[in-house]
Order: sequence, then C-alpha cells, then structure tokens
Amino acid sequence: MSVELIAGVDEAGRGPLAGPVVAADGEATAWSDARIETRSTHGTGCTLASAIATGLGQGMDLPESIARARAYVRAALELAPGLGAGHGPMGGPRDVR
Amino acid sequence: MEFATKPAGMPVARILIIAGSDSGGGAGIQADIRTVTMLGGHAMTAITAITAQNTLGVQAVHAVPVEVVLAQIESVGSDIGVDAVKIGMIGSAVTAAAVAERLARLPGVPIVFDPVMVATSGSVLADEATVAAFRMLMDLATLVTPNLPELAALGGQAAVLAHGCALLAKGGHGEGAMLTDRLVTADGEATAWSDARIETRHTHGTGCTLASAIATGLGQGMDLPESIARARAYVRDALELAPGLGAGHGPMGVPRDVR
Repeated sequence: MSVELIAGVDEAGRGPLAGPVVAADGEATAWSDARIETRSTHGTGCTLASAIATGLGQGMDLPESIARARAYVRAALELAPGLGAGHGPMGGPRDVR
Repeated sequence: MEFATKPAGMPVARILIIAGSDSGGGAGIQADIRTVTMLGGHAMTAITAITAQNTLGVQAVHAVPVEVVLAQIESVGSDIGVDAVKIGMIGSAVTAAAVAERLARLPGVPIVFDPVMVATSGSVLADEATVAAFRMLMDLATLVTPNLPELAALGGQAAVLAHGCALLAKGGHGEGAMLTDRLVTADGEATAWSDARIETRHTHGTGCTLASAIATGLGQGMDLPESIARARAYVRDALELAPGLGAGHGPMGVPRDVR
C-alpha cells in the first residue's frame, strides 16, 4: 500500500504547510492553519518528515503522527532564532510530545 | 572570509561542532546536536568523518576530504556566525592541522577540544600523527577535555597546560564508587567535582555530550566552572535516562529539564 503526504513544502521550505493527505484507498484528511510569516523556513520539510516517522515508530497512526509533526514544525517556526542572511533555521521546541 | 558577527539582541548561542558522525546516534555529531539544542543553542556542524558504528564498536570509517571540512566551517561561519566551537573526532592529522590553521583566525571565540583518540569500544580512532596535530589544537583551545587514557596519551597534565589551555581531566575511567573531574587552568588554579559513579553500561557519547554542553555554556556567556557544572548535570541526567539500546555500550537519554 502506498500512502502519500503532499506536504506542500519543498526542501527550501517554500509553499504552504497545509497540503492534503491522500491514502492509497482515497481517504483524505486535511489540516489548515494560518501561514506563519517568517523567512526562517529552512528545514521544514525535513523536520516534518522526521517528526512523522518518529510518531509512526512510537505506534501512532498516520493522522496522529502528522498532527503532532505539524504542531512541532509550527512551534519550531515560531521559535526561529533569525540566523543568517537568508532562509535561516527554525528553533528547537521542547514541549511538543 | 570573516565570520559573521552576532546581531544585537540575538538570544541563541551559535555552536560550531567539528566532529565525526556516529550512525548509531549515541555519540559524535548526533550527540552533539542533541546536546546543543537541548541546552538552548543552535548547533552547526563540520563533519570530519562518517562512521559505521553501533553500541558494539566501529565497523567502518570514511574520512571527509579536508577541503569539505573547511568548506563547512566557511559556510556556517560566514553567514550564521560562531559563538563557540566544540572539536571532537577529527579523523586525520591533515584535517586536524587544517582545522587548527582556520580556527587560529577566529580570535576570541572559545574552543572546547575533546581529544577523541580512543572510543568507548576500545578502538583507536587516531594515529600518532594525529596526536601530534592535536598539539596545534591545544594551542588554540580554551579547554581540553581528555579522559584518563587520553590525558596519558597527551603526555599528562603539565604537557597539556603547557599549551596555555585549561584542562578538564575526566575521572570516569578511574576506579572506585566516586569519580572526580578536575579543572585546572593554565595558571594552576584547580576546581574539582566529585559524584557517585552511575552504574550503567550505556556510556556511549558521554565525552561528546560533555564537551558540547560546555561549549554551549561558553557560547552563552557562562564562565568555565559554570559551563562545566551544568554540563556535568546534563550528562548525569542523560546517563540516568539511558533507554538501554543495543547489546553493547548504548546511547544515553535526552534530558529536557537542564537549562
């Protein structure tokens, strides 16, 4: 079974973090949030995917894993320390479990 | 190229880690990033070697070409800037010398040098030429953090202090139920921390973690004793939280409450 998450965020962090999940059987779930205005979006895609993989490894199902991963990425975006002259790193949330 | 200066009001300490990757996630770069992050710093890396490694030992090592090690330092330093440096496993004498030459042009940035020569698994990770190159790094270092076998390989306390750096001699490889870590500054002033030994076989990454935690403290403006005290508290919590992974010397856990 293939399951696809269209996160809408590429490696450089461009695009909305609000794409739909489309499972192989066609069931769809969507998360919508206000865009967080920041240029420190580097690593959003990596972080989201690693957070989802962590959830799956912990026994969460896909929607649970994705919901937590999105919360983590959004918290990380809010915590971005503003480093560098370009697209800087996000921060390190400690309170998302 | 000059390194970027810190913008006014920036809250995060930028820590450059020059070290090797541990595929098992217990030591090396992986432990370093976790530690810097959990203590509130921003971790940046110049990876010197890629190891195939688990809790039982090191199965393979691939050295990163020296120009790529230097390129990583330039990339992060020129744009993001560096408040403190942690040096761990270097991998080759040539790389150690090149890193020393580059860091010599970073006056005023604290450098913590963990002279990784012998892994917890017992494998030797540096040849004699690398040990010789370590003398250049000790000339630059704010603090050198050998364990007892490494301190012996470096020629002992007086030989280390002769480089003008401070020495943190870690007592974990000693005998007995109590262990003592001793800080000696170049002018001979000594501070010691003693604690009951934590009985665990999951000690992989303690040296990396301690040195990165100290570097983070120095980058955040703490002095050496403050940085070391917090780093020791972090490592001890991490040992207590070890998840028990692997058949050998497994990774420590990740404390979230040490600030």
